[in-house]
Amino acid sequence: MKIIFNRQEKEVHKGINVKELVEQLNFDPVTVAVEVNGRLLLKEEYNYPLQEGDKVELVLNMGGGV
Amino acid sequence: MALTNEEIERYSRQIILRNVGGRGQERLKQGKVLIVGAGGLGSPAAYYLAAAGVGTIGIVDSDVVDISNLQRQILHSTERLGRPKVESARETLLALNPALTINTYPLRLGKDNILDIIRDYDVIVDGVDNFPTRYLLNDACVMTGKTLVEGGVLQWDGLVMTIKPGQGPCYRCIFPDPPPPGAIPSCQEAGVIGTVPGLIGAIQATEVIKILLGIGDTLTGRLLIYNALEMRFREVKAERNGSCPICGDNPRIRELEEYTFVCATKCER
Repeated sequence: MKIIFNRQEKEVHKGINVKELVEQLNFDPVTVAVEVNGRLLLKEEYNYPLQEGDKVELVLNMGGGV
Repeated sequence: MALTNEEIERYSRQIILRNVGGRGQERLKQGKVLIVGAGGLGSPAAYYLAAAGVGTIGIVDSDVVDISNLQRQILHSTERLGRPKVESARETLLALNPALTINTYPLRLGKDNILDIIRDYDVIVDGVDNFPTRYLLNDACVMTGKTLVEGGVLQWDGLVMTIKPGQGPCYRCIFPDPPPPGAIPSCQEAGVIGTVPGLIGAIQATEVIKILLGIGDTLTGRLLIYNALEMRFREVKAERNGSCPICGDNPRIRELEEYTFVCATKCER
């Protein structure tokens, strides 16, 4: 199925959840927050199975330095 | 705290704004703002707050001015290389606006000094360059109910949010724990374009001005995310997290903790 990841279409396997997507993208889940359809998910929601057309963006914890 | 004629003239372009006025300017004059970090974010934030007439500005930083800072840290200058950043910051801010009170703290915040320092201020601006201090600051502000204006930058990206404890999410609601050492590079390691903290720091200062004036909508429960390469802002809604380790319903953190700080690569601190 297709989702919109960072404003681009991305093919993912049906039923993939948020945690699996983050890991598949090679991000450590502790370093990012995940936005689905304009709202940040709580960690408890990471087993949420993505639906066709969901808009997903990652927010990086940018606290590390200026 | 009445305004002098010179102050009325100096701040005339903002006093003329209907929701500022002479009364708003007096509120700014009475305002006390602590800026943690006199670096890429703290520089523009402090500069604009001083220009706006925020009467008392505290600056915390334990570093000295390095030549690699000058690409973005606009409070400092070439002739001040090697001098403590807090002193350099104080000189720049007083040159701009001599009537202000500038308090300097040439130290690193830790769990034993942070509460004493933040106690005297109305609003705290986070311009720190490391995760341990960022989390310590979040926790201390949540525990004492202080408003904290968060900002972070990396490479071409920036992030801002305003934390009002009890009225919206805190930093840990979004990022519950600091990333493991090395998981996210610092700007020293990964680079940053100077205008990115310039813009984010200016947004932080704008949030502070509105908070002191008690007007407008702040970035509470909203993260503003900026990407300079695409020149795009986006906003993400965030809620207070009931399982947040510090402001949740059953917090795990009941007293301040410090985390150790390990850089992914060579660290100059």
